[in-house]
Amino acid sequence: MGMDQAWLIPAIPAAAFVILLIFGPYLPRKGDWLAIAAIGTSFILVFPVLADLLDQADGTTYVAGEKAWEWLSFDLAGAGETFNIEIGFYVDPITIVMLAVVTLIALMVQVYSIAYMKGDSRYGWYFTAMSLFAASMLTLVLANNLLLLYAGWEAVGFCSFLLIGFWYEKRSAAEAAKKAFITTRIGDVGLLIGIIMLWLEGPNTFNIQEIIAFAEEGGYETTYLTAAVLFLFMGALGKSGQFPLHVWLPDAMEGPTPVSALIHAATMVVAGVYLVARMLPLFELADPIALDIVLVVGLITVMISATMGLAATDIKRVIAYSTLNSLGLMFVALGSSAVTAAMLYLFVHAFFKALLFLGAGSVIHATEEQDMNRLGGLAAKMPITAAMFAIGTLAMIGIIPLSGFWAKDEVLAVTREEQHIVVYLVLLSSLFITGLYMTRLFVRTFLFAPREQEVYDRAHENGLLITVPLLILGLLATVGGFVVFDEVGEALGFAGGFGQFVFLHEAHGFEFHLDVAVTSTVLAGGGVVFGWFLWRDKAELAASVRDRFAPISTLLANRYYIDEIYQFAIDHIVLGAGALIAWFDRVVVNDAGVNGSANIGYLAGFEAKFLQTGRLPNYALAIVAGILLLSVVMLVALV
Amino acid sequence: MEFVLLALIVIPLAVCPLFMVIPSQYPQLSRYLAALAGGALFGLSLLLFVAYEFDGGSGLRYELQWAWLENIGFLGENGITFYLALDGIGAPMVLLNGVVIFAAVFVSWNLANRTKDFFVLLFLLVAGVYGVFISQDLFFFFFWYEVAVLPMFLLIAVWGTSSEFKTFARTKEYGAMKLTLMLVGGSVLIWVAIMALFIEAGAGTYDMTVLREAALDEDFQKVVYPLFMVGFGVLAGMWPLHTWSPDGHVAAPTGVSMLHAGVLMKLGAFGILRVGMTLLPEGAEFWAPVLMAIGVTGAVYGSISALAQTDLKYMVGYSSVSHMGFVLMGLASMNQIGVNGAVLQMFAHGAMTALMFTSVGALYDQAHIRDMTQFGGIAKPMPRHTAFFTIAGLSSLGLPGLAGFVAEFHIFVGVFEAGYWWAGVLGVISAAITATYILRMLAKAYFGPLNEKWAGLKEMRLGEQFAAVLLIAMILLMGLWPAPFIDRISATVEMIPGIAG
Amino acid sequence: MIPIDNFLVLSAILFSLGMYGVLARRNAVLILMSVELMLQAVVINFVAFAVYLDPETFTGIIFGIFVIVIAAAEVGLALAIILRLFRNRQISNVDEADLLKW
Repeated sequence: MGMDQAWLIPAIPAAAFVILLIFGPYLPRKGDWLAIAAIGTSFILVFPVLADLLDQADGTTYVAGEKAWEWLSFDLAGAGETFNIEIGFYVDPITIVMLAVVTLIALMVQVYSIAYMKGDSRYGWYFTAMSLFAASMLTLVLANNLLLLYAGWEAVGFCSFLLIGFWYEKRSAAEAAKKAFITTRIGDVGLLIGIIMLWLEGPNTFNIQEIIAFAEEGGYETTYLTAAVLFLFMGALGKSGQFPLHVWLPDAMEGPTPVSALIHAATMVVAGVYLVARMLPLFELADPIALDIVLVVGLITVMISATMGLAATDIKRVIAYSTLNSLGLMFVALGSSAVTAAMLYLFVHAFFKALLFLGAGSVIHATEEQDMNRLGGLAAKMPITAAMFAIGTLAMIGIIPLSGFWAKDEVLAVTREEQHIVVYLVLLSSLFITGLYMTRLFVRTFLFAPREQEVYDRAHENGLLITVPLLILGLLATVGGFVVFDEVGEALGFAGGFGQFVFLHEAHGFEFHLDVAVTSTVLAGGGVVFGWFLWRDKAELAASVRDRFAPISTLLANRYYIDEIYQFAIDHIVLGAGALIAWFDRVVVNDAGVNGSANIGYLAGFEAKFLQTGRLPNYALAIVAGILLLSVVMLVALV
Repeated sequence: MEFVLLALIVIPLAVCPLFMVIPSQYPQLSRYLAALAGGALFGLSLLLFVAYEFDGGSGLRYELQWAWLENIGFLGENGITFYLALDGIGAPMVLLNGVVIFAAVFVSWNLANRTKDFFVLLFLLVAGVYGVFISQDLFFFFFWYEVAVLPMFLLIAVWGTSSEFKTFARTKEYGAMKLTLMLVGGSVLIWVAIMALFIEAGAGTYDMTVLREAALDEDFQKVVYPLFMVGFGVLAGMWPLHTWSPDGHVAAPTGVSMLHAGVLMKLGAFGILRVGMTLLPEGAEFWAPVLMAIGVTGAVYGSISALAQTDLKYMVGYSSVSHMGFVLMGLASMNQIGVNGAVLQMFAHGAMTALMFTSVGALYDQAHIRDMTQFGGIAKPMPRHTAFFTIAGLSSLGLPGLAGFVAEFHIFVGVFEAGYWWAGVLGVISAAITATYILRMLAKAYFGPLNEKWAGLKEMRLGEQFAAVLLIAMILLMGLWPAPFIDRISATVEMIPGIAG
Repeated sequence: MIPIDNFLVLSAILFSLGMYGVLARRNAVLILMSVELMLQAVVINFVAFAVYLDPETFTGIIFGIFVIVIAAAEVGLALAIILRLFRNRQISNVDEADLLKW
């Protein structure tokens, strides 16, 4: 076992999916054990692959593993070339990070789901879809060519559709699923065009590494490459919920909470980050405007999501906004060409965000309530959940020494060095807001007096199937950030810390930026303290602030009216165009064009028939006139 | 093997008189006979597809040439011959026809009114379709083309359904009449063009293998090609001559819709490729930008129209217009990737649209309405039906792993390669609009709270499920392992004159 | 010998009279009679040309006899139709017999 068998990692969940789809209903326990065994095996299989990658270590560089099989190929007439599409995998440190995150979180979430989804009428189907998701996501991550990546990309989108709409009897769930798929699909238009553009002027292959090598030799014209990577970035926009395609992610919370943890926090939504990280050499070769756009989009998303998080009252939605916030940070890092920072953030984010969602799920499972205005004081009844949730919250805010701190500081340090000071300042201010709304989330849910006694009475700590994944993720969210230290990396068998494993051009060790750390901690901590005073007890202070700034809070609570604008555009522009064209088709093309031309024939005949008067003298006159006319013609012709 | 090819025409023609001698009070007997014949055709089609050797030679296999009329008047040596042969484009088309007719028999199982007459006409139509796909003689090509088109009139006018809508009504007679008249109008253009081609070539033969060697004058090609393009284009649902198609689908009974959208519309695109582009390559080259513009207009127009439909059959009908627009785009790209994609799309669209009609028909048989806004939450009583419809929809919106993606991807690459970047972009957008109307339909009709009125709906019949599984197998086969299709198609496409690398 | 012109002029006069009758009259019987006049004009032409152009054979004369025979048959048929028309609708005016139209 090793690198050559990396294809087994997605293949095992895929096989589990097929078995569950066909035989699932007849298996004991509807086959949940099969899905979990499959993803568990995949998780274990990551280690031999990693070991092979490390064995190839030559100092601080790693030789990527790649293997491909022909999927289809045909000769191009007259060109002396063949058109090839391969399926294959490519393993490098970025892949390993993604593999580890996906398999580990998927395993945790599926174990957790045994308890969470217990008794659901479509229990078996849930695990079937989860297996399909795992297989698709792992395919996306391992793909060595853009087309296979696109296949995985669309497949995870479809799984997301299935799982958001898992409780499709709810109208809102059906609508959210549709919205998610269509919004991401809009981005995918760009992704597909970008892929075709890269092929068109490129080296007649979809292989990512060959395309990058080709670009590095200057194969693409700069403007063309810029356009191509921006099209690719459109795909990332949709999938990772960046402004202006972020609207689907908060609605996606209609799905079961473990699904939100896995798909809409830890794995699928970071596919966009992964794509940009993977294709970053192309972004760098393109016009600088490309990376600037990535940065600005990330920055806008950070700000709008953080502020929207302040107004949301559904605990899952607040976490969803915090996910958007984190994703924005990753894009800011990528916009500064900092793969290390982005991937580090992605890595630790998976742990603490999954932790937050699963913690929220634990609350929802126990209380059947997810509106924080009806919760409160749960810490007493759910101590483990509360403790783990606190860890997740602090990690998200970025309090030393939790994992989020190290990743966030990396991003901050990079932006301070690479970008305009404004970018840095905006990020710092967003930290303060993050501190505010995360504190609000925790305080309102777990502390002080319960707001609804009935809900509070239902609350109880959940069983081991729920708490153990929470504890494991809590541990990882606490210590996950230490991978930045060279000592930790070496102890784990790597050449050094995270920066010497995942990097774009050259490895770099860990540097602690004291000034950045102090500034960020002060701001984030300030947010926490300020938030504490705002929302403590009955949150009277927060209410008065909200009343004073009523227009702003209305704007935030309505999510900047972006959804409404889109809804208006869809109802009036898209469906209007549809109705117009349908009308045009029926009335102009069909009734006027087709029936019209038929009617012309009919009318011509109808008018002409009146020449037949039925009167003998008329006919006789016509005959005589005809003969005379013909005679005259013949005479003229003869003479 | 060449007699297997012959059997494809002989079997459906031979069962027609057999149906006639079955007393009409035993409809079950007719159904078994139809299933037997359909199964035999499916088996033989599959055999031909698998056995077809794509490497080497002219690409024509299992040739069978019998003289019919020769050395009389204007006809020379081999003037009109009964000439059958299979090539790499015909092979997947033959398979498609076999699958769809086999599925259509099971879908039409419960048809109670004049059962045997229905099957007589259905198999006559199938014989015509097979004839077009395997004829190498232009005269018989046209003959079978007409045989395939004309039974449709009776099939729709007798067994169809009339529909009333809020602002307009469509009777089945109207649908049948419009369909037949428009297609016959197209046939007139084709026949004129065939005559002109025959006389201009001066070879005194209708043999297409001979005609393609005739170096025809470029101006002549430019004049005659549009006749073929428009004439066959009518049957291919070419915008703006597509309106027979949605109305025809709405009026036709389910089994007929399947054959009609699944196979019959492919005859048009097949004709453009086999006759137009192969025999008149320079004309095709000249008119390619026009065909591209028409194709992309149809693709976008069809998908936007589908977005506005609430009737399920109209939605599927307009999606056919949209997908046939993709086929025309692929053909107009005039390069190997695009044309391969067009043929792939012909197969993919055939399988998925037949599946869609199977699903819609199964629902309509029970509910007697097709308006999606009146349903709601019917995924609960009909989970398998929902799954089948969803798979068909996903294939049509181009989800990787299903047939539609493989085809559409090739078409888009081909179109970009040919330099029509605007058409490529619009095509990709049209695929996204497809996603919108498919998901809108699913969300409206299948998801959401169950409308109590429909709580009594039952799952599809087993026969319909079998048909659906058969079609899904094809969709998955092509989506996951397209190599067998591509190998066959590509080997023949690269021999078409005028196809660039 | 009488010049042929005389016969032709006579024939032309007869024919014109007949044609005037057909066009101007409304009574079915009178129209029938006018048609007969036109036919006789033709017969005169046939006979005259036969005698002047080819006196050895009787081709033209035989045609004349044909025309007379057919005219007789035609009168029988036409009078029968006119009678039925009169019996059924009490009309002999052709303007009123206009059902065969559109």
